[in-house]
Amino acid sequence: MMHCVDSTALRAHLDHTDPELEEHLDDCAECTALLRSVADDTGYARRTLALLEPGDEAVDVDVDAALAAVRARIPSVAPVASVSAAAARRRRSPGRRLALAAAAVVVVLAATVTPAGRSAVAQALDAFRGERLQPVMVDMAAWGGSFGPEDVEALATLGDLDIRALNEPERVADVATAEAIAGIDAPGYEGTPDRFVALAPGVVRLVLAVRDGNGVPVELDGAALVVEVPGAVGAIFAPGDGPPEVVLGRSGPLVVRAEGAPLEDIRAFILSREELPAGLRTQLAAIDDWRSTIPVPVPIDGPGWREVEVGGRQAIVFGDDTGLGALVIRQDPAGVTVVGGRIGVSRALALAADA
Amino acid sequence: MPPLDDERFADLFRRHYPRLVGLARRVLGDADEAQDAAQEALLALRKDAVATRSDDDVAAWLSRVVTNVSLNRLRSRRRADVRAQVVAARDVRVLPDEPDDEVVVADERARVRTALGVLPERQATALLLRHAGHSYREIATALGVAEGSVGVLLARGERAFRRAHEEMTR
Repeated sequence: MMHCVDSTALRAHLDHTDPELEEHLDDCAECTALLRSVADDTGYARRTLALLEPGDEAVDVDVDAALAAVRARIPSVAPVASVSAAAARRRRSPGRRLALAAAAVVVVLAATVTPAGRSAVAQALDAFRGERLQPVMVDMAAWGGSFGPEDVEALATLGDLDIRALNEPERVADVATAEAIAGIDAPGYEGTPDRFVALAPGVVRLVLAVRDGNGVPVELDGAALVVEVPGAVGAIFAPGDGPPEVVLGRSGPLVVRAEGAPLEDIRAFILSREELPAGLRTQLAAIDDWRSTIPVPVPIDGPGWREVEVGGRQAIVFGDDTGLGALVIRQDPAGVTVVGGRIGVSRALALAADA
Repeated sequence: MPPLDDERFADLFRRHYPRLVGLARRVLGDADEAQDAAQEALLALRKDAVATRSDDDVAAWLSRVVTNVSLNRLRSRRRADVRAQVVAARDVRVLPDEPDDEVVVADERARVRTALGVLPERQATALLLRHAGHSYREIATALGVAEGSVGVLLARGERAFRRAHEEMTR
């Protein structure tokens, strides 16, 4: 005789009748009541979703015109910077620190890209300071194909990159040492982390320079972007040598200053670079408060994400209801807190609320 | 992997584009934005290994990506009130009959979309695909889950959707 079932089986039964379950329902008032509740929800969703515009038949599209438009967006040749990118590829080997620095610069450059002249008020403050998060959708597959480390480094060839004042994360013995190195407080946590890492604040400086074919306009020759890389602290729960189960991290505010030219002009120039994927460029250009908004890349074919509030602060949570992994990025008054690991979304949110 | 060759891409584009626009329009309501979402999904296909797999796998993958893209765009609207108003105004224009009814329907559609936007992505995708007539198998392939898990996503999704929608209509 069949035992009682849960709402999952009953939901499937609504679409694909299970004779054995049907028989069970004849004799089980509890399952029958649950079935009514499930069917009620299903009927509600069906009726309500039916209000949306119909699908295939209602859409009149010119497929050939759309295909032509899409083809026009597909780069048929290497991007503008590929000449210097080839040289950059050959120079890449020392690269981890350089790549990290260049990536940091590019992220910040991207953060500052919007159409010139948007905000007269912004002229008064010629700097970027991260104060809020905004998801930007990234086609990771296309990104991987058309925008790799070579392009990051190609962007770095726009001038002279000085990373002498950039530090690397280091493993430390305790939280007090980590906080002293980073210059910020660690996030709150329960239990005893297996290790701590700390990053001392640093500075990356990119001085733009007009060189053969790099496209830097004369008026920006010698202008500099100064990226104040914030200190950061990480508490890691990783029993054994395996990958961490949970990581709680916090960094100070990211600040970028322009020297020798308006930040807005440098941003407009970066916007014109073809190394940046077009879709990303469009979204970055649409950010209104670009002097204080940190774009957070969100893969279009990746895990689910949503914007939430954690302890009254803006946050973005990645992950889904599979419980395989989750990540919370929370904007703090003076920096960003990150909680992630092989945990479910609810657990990650709970940890972030206490962090 | 090498990019999809142009001939195969054009073939896949012609076969799937109208269906994907239809799916996206259910989520977004706006035909132009739906076309953008469908094009974004098909562009993503060019660089994904799934392009070399069976037609069923490609169709399922595209369904998921276009739904994700559309849901993401839907969420982005909440940050752009002005833009949302423009889209709502477009909705009103394409609806028939009395102006009052048009406004009511447009408002109701906006609430449905907002409720969808707060669901976890897998649940929202499962709901949209199921109520657009996709089979459990197609949904499972699209989401990369076992067929037996589709019922879980639907049951949870429908319950969460109802709560969110009822909350908005109070």
